[in-house]
Amino acid sequence: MVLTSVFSLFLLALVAPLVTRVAGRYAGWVLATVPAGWAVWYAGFIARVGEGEVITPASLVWVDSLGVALSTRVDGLSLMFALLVTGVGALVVAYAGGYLAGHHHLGRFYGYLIAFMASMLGLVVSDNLIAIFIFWELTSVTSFLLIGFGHDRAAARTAALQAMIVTGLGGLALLAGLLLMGVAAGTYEFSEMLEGGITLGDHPLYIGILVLVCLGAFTKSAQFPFHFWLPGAMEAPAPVSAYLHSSTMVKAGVFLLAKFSPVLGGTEEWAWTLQIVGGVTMVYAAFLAARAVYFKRILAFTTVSSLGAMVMLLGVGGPGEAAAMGFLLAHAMYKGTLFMVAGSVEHQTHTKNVEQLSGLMRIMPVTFAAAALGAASMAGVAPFFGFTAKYLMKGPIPEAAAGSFLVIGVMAMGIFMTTAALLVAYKPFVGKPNEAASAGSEAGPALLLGPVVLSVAGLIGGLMPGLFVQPLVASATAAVTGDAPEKALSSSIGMINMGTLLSTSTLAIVLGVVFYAVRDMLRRTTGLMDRLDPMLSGPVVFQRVLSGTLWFGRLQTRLLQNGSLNTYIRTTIIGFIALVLGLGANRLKNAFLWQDAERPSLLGMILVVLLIVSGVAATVFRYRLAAVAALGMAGVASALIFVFYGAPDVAMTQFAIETLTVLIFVLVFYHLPQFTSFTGRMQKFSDWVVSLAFGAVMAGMVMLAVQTDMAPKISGYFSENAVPLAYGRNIINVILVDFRAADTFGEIVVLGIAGVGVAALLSVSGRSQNPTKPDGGVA
Amino acid sequence: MIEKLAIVWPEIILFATTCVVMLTGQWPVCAVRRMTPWLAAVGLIAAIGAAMASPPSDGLYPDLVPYAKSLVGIMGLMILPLLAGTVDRELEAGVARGERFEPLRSNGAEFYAFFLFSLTGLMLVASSDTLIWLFLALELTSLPTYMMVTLSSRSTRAHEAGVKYFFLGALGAAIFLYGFTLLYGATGSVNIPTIAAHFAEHGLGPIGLAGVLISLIGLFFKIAAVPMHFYTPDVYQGAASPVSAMLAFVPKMAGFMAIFMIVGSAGWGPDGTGLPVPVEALLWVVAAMTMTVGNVLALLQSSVKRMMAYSSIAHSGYMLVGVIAGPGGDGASFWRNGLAAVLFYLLCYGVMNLGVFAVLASLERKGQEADDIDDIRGLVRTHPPLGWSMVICCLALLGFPPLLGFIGKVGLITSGITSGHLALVIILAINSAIAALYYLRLVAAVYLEPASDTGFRPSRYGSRQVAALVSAGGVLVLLLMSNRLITAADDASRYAPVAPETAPYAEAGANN
Repeated sequence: MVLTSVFSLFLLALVAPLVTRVAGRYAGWVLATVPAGWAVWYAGFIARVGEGEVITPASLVWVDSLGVALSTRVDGLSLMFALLVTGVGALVVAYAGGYLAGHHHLGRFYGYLIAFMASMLGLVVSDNLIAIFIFWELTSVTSFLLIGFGHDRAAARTAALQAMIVTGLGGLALLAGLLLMGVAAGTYEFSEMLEGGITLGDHPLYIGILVLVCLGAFTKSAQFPFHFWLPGAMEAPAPVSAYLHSSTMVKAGVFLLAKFSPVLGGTEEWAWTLQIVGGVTMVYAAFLAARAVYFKRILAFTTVSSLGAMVMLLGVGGPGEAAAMGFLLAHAMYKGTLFMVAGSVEHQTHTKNVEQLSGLMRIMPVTFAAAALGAASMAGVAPFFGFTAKYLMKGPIPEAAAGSFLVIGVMAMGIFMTTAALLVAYKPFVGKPNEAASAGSEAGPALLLGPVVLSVAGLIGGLMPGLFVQPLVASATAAVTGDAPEKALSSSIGMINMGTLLSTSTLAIVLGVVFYAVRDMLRRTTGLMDRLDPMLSGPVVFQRVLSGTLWFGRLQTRLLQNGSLNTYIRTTIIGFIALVLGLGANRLKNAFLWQDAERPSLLGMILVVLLIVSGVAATVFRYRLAAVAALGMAGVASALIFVFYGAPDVAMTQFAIETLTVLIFVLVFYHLPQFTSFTGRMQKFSDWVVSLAFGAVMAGMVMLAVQTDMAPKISGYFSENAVPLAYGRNIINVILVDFRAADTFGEIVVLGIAGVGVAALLSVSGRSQNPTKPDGGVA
Repeated sequence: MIEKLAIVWPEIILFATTCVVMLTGQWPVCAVRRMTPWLAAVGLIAAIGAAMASPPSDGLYPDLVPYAKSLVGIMGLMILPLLAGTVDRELEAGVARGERFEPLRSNGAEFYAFFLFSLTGLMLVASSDTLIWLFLALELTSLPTYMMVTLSSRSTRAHEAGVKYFFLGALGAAIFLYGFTLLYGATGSVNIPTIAAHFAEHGLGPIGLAGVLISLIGLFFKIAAVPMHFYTPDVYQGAASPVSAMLAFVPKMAGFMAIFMIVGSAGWGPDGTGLPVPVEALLWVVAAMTMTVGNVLALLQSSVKRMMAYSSIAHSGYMLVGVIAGPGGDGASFWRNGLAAVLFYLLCYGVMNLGVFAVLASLERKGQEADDIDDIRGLVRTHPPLGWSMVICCLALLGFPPLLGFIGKVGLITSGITSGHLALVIILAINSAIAALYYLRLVAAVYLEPASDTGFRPSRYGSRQVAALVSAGGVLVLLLMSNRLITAADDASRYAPVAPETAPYAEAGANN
């Protein structure tokens, strides 16, 4: 059934365009029923999972030999995410129907959105590491499609590509990490790792795994310094931001870290990495949020900040996990609300800048109510769920190694979050309606349902935690820590001093209000940030690396890949020499030692001189025919070597081939024009050097071969067996027609074909009077 | 000799088909000429059937034959529809207007015959168990492709490409032939299992080492690995897209099978990590450089064909990782078996890559095939089936999960990790990231960019579009079959060096 939920959504994504055509403006409502139904189905598990049960349906084997199976496992953590994915998903689909009403590609948009939903659901319920990765990348590609949905605008295309590249690079790191993890643990099934009690903290591959998995998680969850893609992704339509960038996709990184913490967590490296990266992100992004002016940008930065807080809490460990889970759930609700509110305001007033809006309260009262509830939760005002989450958070942090720093960090985040909350839920709504605001009107039911449901759920979660918050957070925490659900939560609650909590929260809120009041000054005095942030973060570094790579590539192209055959051959030969000498020098150095230096015979000397002279002549002659003749001489000289050193049959073949080659060359060259351009002196010199080096390497090889104990001589075998086996006394005849009959047959065929070729060339040379034009490209 | 015939039935069938095709390709009757590709297809199907029933060979990889030859046959069948309209276009148009058919002006017979010859050679590479067979088979694979490049287009660029390809190919062949002779010199045998047994018993020795290294460097030409890769972009761009599609698969497959044999003769040792240090170093350095050079240079290209040429170089680099990892010890599972990963990846690469070239070949403007990235902008909107084929194939080439290239890459990566080559795997991962940049550029151009009228229309040779759709469909269908294919690749890669005492020490000279 769990897999069915994933695949039914993929199927729904496929038929979404069709449904849109049939159901028209009600398509959103119709499509939303499916995820809503699955949300209800998953909600039915809350009680069972809350008691510590884990649902593991039968798995679907796919690529068995690679250990890839579509196995699923629903524990507390997965259930919480599954509920968010389907529940918030249903609301967002309905919302999209209002937000993009009348858009000519609405059907396609639904398709992408629901495909994303299916991928995300697959990600959170999968048990197999490879399946997790597959769904992880599917979320990347569907989000790429969603961010780039308005692809007629260049900004949307750029943002989509940027998000895709960052999360895609992280995805590759994650793949390597997951494969290493599978190799280290001996299985790709996560549940088997848990059951086997496998922890990889001591494994030699641990650091590699940790770094790679963290890279994957941090890029997806927009942690510093990869945070830049999320604000950029705000180019996406509001339903996408509300869904992907608040409650689901960006939390996938946090999800992964939480899921893996029983196997990878509990080490110093884990704690420090997560605390430092999470802590820095938390404070830095919260500060950027407080000084932003665009509705969705503010929300994007607060999201980054909250994700940082969750990562940091997971790093703190112990009861920190409970806090992270509580915060995660709370954040999904209020941030979903606020993004949808932002979308509604933008949709109704066509204004994105909060500073340009005022007095919307009278025009959009219901939207304002939802915004106020959401923002109060974000600022951590009692008794909202956001307060409960903060309440969970303040407990474990002072216990951590870097506790005092983290307390200050959380405090700073609280302050800036309050400022941000005021910016989004107070500034545009209070006061007298200005011109931009008056242009708008209250949103329709599709746009209101999502924010109202989520914000009210946040309120109920705070007031009556037992209803759904406690079992969910407790069982999710249990899944992360491996404890029983009750124990997991209570250990964290017990550590809190209510008085301190209330006083610090109040202080944070007050300071937040102060910053809100002086926000213009804040923005002006920190104007440097506008230039500093891009430099600290990815785009610039990315651009630098990319342009460096491209520069290297261009240089390489100009020097080596310039289209000239000469250069190619030269470079190839140099590469050959470098590889052979570089790798074999150690073993080949004996080659140049003259061991039992034999006195060369006079005949041998003459042949060698002849070979060298003809080789040199072939390169210096300025007429083709002369060069060909020189080459032919070299061939004849080498054939003579065979004659004098006991292989007359080979020599015969060689003579025949040499003659034919020269003949063919002559006939072909007859059609070609004279040499016209000659290589320069420098070029010639370097070619000489390269050729001599090549010759030296080859000569070295030969000397090496001569010194090595060679295989037994063949000639003995022939003379012994000529009579008994072949009944012949002329050994050469026997070799040619008996022992090597197949070779001889081959040679005859080759010579025959060559002869046909020569005949063809001769017949052509009689007819063609206009030789082809010289082709300058081939030198 | 006779028992060998049972193994080479597929080659015999293809050769016979070649002879028939050479005649029908220039038959005066138009209907007979039109039948030529169909005859080739029948021959290929029969060859696949024979290949599947093939007994094990005597080589180092006894079970390689059925898998490799079936793969060759299937890829041949997929490339075949793409070749339509590559040669004799004007001639056939003239005949359609009522001119007389002149066999001397026609190239159809040679073109299809060369195609089948090359595939025959490729199958022979899988069958060969001696260095001489191997050399002849490699040359039979390559020589027809030099001609096909030149025949495929009337532009001077194609001629230039043919000449370059030929000269560099001859250089490569000379180098690996030299390596082969050194191997013979070191061991006194041209029989590859005997050479392997000799090396297992006596060690490589300086001359054997030189033989292995030089043979490998020469063979790098076939797979377009650094430093033998220079021809690739010029030739792929110069040749017509259908021929480039073939070049990206056929020589690569031949080269990898030959590399398997040469590296296999040096041996990975009993535990699968004992590759001789210089050989491993050579493969390591070349793998790393090939991936990097290929991917970085692909980034710069605006011609899709050049981009795919560089990506072809890079993919060879990925596959070399599997060669280094080797077959693992006895009973190693797929994720340790690098050779199986390479064999499976060759299949994946062949199909994915063919899709991209098929899309390019399917788009024409005044008889010119699409090449520049501008030519395919907004293709998803103007020609949805072609556009989506391009998107699917590019994402698969990039290794996007769960597409075919991803499954293939997982095999290569796990074999790299389990054989202890972490650094190389990291280089591979970084390179996959670089590759993402240009593949995504293609996807973005096809999918995101608004449609503009580039003047390119689907080719009137509809079978080219069929080839594109079949490749894209293949990427998806093979995905579902991947478990069976991986098992097949795993079986095919069984590495069975003969124990030294039982090696067929044939009397010298009588074994060729």
